[in-house]
Amino acid sequence: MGQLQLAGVTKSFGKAEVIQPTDLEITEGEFVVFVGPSGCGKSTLLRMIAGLEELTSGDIVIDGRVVNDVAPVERGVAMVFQTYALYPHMSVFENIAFPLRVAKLPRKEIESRVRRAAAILKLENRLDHKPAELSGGQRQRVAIGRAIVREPQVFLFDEPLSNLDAALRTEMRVELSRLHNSLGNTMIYVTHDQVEAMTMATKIVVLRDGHIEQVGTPLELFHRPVNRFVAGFIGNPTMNFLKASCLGETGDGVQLRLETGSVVTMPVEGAARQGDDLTLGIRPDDLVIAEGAARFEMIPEVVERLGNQSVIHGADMAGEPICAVVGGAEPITQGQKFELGFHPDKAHLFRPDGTAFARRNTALA
Amino acid sequence: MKSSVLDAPLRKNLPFVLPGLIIYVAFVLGPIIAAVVLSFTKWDGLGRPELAGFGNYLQLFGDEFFLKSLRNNAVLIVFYCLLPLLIGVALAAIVSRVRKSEQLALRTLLFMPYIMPSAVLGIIWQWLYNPAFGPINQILRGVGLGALAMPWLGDFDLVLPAVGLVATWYYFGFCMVIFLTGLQRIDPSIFEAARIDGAKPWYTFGRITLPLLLPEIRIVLLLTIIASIKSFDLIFTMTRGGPANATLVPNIYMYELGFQLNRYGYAASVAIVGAILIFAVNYAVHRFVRPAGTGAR
Repeated sequence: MGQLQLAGVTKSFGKAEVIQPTDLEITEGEFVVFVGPSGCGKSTLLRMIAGLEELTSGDIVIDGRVVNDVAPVERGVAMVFQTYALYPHMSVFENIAFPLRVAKLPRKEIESRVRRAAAILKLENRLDHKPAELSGGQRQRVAIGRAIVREPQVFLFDEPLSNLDAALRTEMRVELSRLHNSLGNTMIYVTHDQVEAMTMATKIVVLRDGHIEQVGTPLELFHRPVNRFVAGFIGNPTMNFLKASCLGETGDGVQLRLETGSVVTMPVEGAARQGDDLTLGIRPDDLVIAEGAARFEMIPEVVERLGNQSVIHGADMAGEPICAVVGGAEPITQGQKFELGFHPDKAHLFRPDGTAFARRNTALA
Repeated sequence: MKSSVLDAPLRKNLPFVLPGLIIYVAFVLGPIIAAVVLSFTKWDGLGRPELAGFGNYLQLFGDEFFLKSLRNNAVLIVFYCLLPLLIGVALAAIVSRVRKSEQLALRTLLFMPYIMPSAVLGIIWQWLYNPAFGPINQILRGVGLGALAMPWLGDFDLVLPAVGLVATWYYFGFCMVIFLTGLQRIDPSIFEAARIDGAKPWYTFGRITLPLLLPEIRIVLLLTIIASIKSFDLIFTMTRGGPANATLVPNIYMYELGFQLNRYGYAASVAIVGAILIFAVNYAVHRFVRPAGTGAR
């Protein structure tokens, strides 16, 4: 129960194809996060699964049943909206009970299911309150409660935390993960926040312009991005991209020269020709001060001190923007250049079309 | 911190307030006070008013014409208020589902009657209702329903609904526009959530749409009930309160008493009762039609 399959699903609004032919398998109990920039089609895809948008072509299969023409309520899905979509004139109890009243369940059954959901979500003391009397986090919990009582096979979340402040968002992220662990249902979650995706998902689907760029576990996406878009989208702060020129292949990989003049051999698989314009990607956390096989100098422009670490924004000597995460005690000051380096096995290499060279011996953990 | 200009002494701010205040006192507050004072007198408009105490009011509640005008007004509330409200809600629910471009055309078309002066509409509808050459009867006869061709404004039983229906036609577009803005105010994901929860359209309408439209329902109730109590021009141009007082309403009665019978004191008491009625209805609507979801308990 809770298996979902998208087979050649597309969606067009007029002449604009917002979802290109899409295939995706979601197995029971997975916490799948659709992530991508605004307008990439992630919410549309979710709404298609919910039955709020019609498909232009393809099939949506839930637990072996094609549900293209099945009403939302009969698909076995429940949805939590970005704006909570609570009924403002009803109490918390009535909001949670609404789908059960629609289904005409006996009063006792409604009472017990609502109380159970309220207990899970710590809303027992708020059942008589109206949504306007609740905090953002409590409202979101009511919306989740309304989904829980229906006992759906699949939960759908459409950017449910984006209206909350940063502290509450972190708290709710943990609560949602805890809820997933305790209920064990399939959950599909849409967000544009890659931190939410990385921290909550068992599987991430990265979308761009209505097309799936990559599907994988958070660590797969982090360590083995298939292209420059995914590499740049996943990870915070975002990956540094440095222009490089291919010097040729060696037995150890592809040798290249950075704009700063540093020569480095990248341990990657795949063919590259001398003179190819490549891009080297290195995460800010993988840059180290005065260490590593490849070195270059950086001029800091902004130093963000976070205590245990400092985030340095600046540029290398070739003028390319660089971001580095270093230890909080490092005496880095604005405008005073210092030497950075990295180990090639930590870096990524991208072809001119943006696709990534496969890295050798990359452990995911 | 620099204080606001409004914090200046009264004498400094008075020049700004005075022009508006003078106009308000001269044309609104003054006439209201004058009408209240007048309602306690007997005055023919020429001589000195004679103090009558509560005589006018006591006489008013034994006056069969006044009571009939109140009864007629109660019936007209159905046409001024209830029917436009129901039709307005239904049309708003339908029009809101239509595509934007078509919605604009429909909205404009249905709102059109409201932008015309009601006195002009009264004259037009008097012609439409004309028993001999009015288009309504002509069409009825043309389609073989001649038996239904009635003297709409001449029949004691039909005239009040006939006039009332014009008011309904006049106000439903206005109500619809108010409800449409109300529907646009409601977060669309609420309706989507109800759909996912399995609620059918009628259930959603009754349990979600209507309660959430209560602020608009309250405004519509207030405005249309006030309009019905104030009704004059439409009825005056169509029937002048006739035939045989079948469409007599307090304002027509007040006009007749004051400007035809020169009983200004008595006419003023009719006006004051009308104003009290409006205040009472306002209070009742405010008291009993409460918007939901504000957190108030």
